[in-house]
Amino acid sequence: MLMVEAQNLSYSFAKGKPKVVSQLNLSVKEGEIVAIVGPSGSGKTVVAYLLSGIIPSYFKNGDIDGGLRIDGRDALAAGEDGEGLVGIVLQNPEAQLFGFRVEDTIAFGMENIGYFRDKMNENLDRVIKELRMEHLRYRFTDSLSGGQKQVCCIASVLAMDPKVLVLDEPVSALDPGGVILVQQAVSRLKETGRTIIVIDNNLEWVAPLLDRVIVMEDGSVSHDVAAAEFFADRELVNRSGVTTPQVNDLYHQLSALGYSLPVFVDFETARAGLSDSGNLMPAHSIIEASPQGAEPEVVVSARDLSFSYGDVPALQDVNLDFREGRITGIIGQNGSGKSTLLKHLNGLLKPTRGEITVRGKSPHQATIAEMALTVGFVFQNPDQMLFEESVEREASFAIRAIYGKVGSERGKWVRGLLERFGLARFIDVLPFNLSTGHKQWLTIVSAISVDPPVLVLDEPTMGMDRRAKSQLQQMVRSWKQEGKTTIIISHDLPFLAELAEDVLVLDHGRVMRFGPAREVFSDHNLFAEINIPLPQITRLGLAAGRSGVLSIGEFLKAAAADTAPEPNVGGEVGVSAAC
Amino acid sequence: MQLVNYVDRMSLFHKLDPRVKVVWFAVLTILALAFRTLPVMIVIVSSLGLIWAVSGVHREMIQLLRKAIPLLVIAFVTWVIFGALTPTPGVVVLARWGPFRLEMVDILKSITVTIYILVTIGLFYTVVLTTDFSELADGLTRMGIPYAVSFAISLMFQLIPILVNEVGSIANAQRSRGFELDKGGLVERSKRYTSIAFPLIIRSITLGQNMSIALHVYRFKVGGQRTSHRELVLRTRDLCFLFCLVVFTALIVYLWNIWR
Repeated sequence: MLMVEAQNLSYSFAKGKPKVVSQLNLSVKEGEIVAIVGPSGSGKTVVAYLLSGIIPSYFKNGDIDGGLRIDGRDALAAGEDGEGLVGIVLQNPEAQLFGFRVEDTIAFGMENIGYFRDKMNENLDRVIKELRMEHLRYRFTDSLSGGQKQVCCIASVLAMDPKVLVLDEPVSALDPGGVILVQQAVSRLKETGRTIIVIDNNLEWVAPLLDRVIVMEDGSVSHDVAAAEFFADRELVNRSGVTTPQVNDLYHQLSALGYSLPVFVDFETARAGLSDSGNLMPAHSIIEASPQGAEPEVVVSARDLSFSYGDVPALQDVNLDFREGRITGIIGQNGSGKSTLLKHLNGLLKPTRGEITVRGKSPHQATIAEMALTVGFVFQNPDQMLFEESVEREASFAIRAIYGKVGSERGKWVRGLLERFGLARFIDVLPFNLSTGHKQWLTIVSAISVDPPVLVLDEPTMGMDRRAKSQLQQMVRSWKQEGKTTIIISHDLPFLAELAEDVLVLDHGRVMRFGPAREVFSDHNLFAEINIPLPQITRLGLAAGRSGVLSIGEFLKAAAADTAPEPNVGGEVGVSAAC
Repeated sequence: MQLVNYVDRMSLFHKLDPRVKVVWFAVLTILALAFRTLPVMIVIVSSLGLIWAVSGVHREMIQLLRKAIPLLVIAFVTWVIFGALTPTPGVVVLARWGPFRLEMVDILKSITVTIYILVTIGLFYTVVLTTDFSELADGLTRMGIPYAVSFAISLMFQLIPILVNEVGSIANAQRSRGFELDKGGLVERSKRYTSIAFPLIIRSITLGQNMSIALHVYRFKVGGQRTSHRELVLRTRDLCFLFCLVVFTALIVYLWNIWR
């Protein structure tokens, strides 16, 4: 039975304006889980709003053509009766939770509809059971983790008895633990036969659950294919800018080498596919080449560093050294102390106990300007940083703040940076009007405009597509060539595994592990303890008894080494026969 | 940042019907205002202390009241100065400095007013610390206050910490670029703070719009008929508490008659 049917659906924000959705035709069957993907500006969010009735009941001034039927009813003409046919869960759970306890939050929508108490209690019990959140029922919402909050939002919407559930980038603001919770929730909903539409260009978390993928380009559907077909089509995946599971990349690379395999959408399908193919699992260990010469100089040093927010400890007895020219990744769940630690580097926070030095000097002995010249800090959310009237002024903001004026030499340097980051054509544009991706590059330019020897990046890949991530990796490697130290906080483990030389793992404010990336990523017990899944490629290596596989390239080389002479892996990484 | 939050305890006061707490708050506010004498204030503040102790929120109250000390000191000193400038004939004079005549009655009045301020702060926070906002909004609605008003109050408590955190994050982002926010005179500082104001406005608008869409998704309508999953029933403990409140009111009126 068709649950959603859009026929020649078009929408523009006002009559006579260009159509942001044009002649859209799509259908979703009852019990299907369908992803709608597409590059930025393709109209995905507008489609989410059309399906969920936010357009036209909230955004009323637009111009709609065509038809939309939900569960056989005309959703565009249904008015009050049509409300609630589709429930939508938005990106940020903080803005969608109304209530003090979980139970109040779930009941909020039902209370607004005017359900009787018996019906409300019945629905409350049902969704709580369906999502297995009995243990959260009486908890305060502000005590929940990001993932628990998002699951609570899903429950609140489901309690209102929608026929279809739309999830609009539901994991984009979550840490790895939160992503797992939402993934489990969606998996349970699939088991109970819910119809779900996921609007997201990150399909890493939901790939194995999908039945179909609809690709949008320029406001209309360009491809509507079975999920397996989508994940098998490398060109389509790349064209749509979708982030797929790491094993899907592996599948494409193996396919390009001529192997005929079933498509990989998650760890299990990859392991089964590789095992069935006989000799494709790596049979060799990756051995890190011994470091050459003396250890680089210590740039940042923390000794017994502790910090508390009021009575709540955020960092406890942290001892570590970050060394010059190294790329360090920091891993941990939200609240593990990652940002708190790095805010000590430029004096934004003062230790409650212990000490920290940057190039031998306490950040509190230096002025704000001196610290900005030493540590460049790129915050997670560009909107918290950008405020100037043009991209050029924003890029040179730190220079003006520190030196008072830009000057011709520094102006030339900033323009060079803007050129290098692809922002030169936006030089006079208001930063606020840039796309999220360009805003992220601009905040990086602004931080490195004063050429600091240490650069801190807080979740730099959030919202980035595969191409942008690759550009960022190249950029960080080029900074390393210049002798700069880079410290990156990220939940994107495949990204860090490929890039970082050292990895610091924090949990509840304590250092769980700090060492060379390959050693840290070999410790699967540690990752199980902190509830962060290892990169799929590393897990595949471990499944074959080979630890320390950090990238697809390494995986392929380790696998190839079984049948070929020992290859040369660019000096840094060597492959030797397994013991 | 924690501003004011419900403190989860299993005390009798926590368990009271929110309407009973609102009545208690209203009655004590009126008593404190209408019978503002030192003995009455001492009795009320003592009763508050007792409630804080039995409901297990005394630590939080002490923390809050510590923050109010500057306000209380200012109130006390101001009343002493004004009192000293307005002489009362036939009372004990403690000291004289030029036009100032410090009398015993001025000191007593200042203490009374200071305790009165303490009582009003204490009453408000006792309700806030012992009643969760959803429950409070429900209680107010059942008492005839439009849900939109009580919802707005609870939303305010939800939003303030988010916005305070935003200000902190934005300020940190600007400081990390070498920008000193607290440099220069008042005008210079005001200019510098635009680097916070613009991102804050943008972020607030975005947050507001997201919340507005979310409210629409939950079919929230100002003035619309709504139901509640919470069953509010006056129980024996509520009636006993109300009875005690009546006795307490009688005691206050009696004391006031003696001491006025």
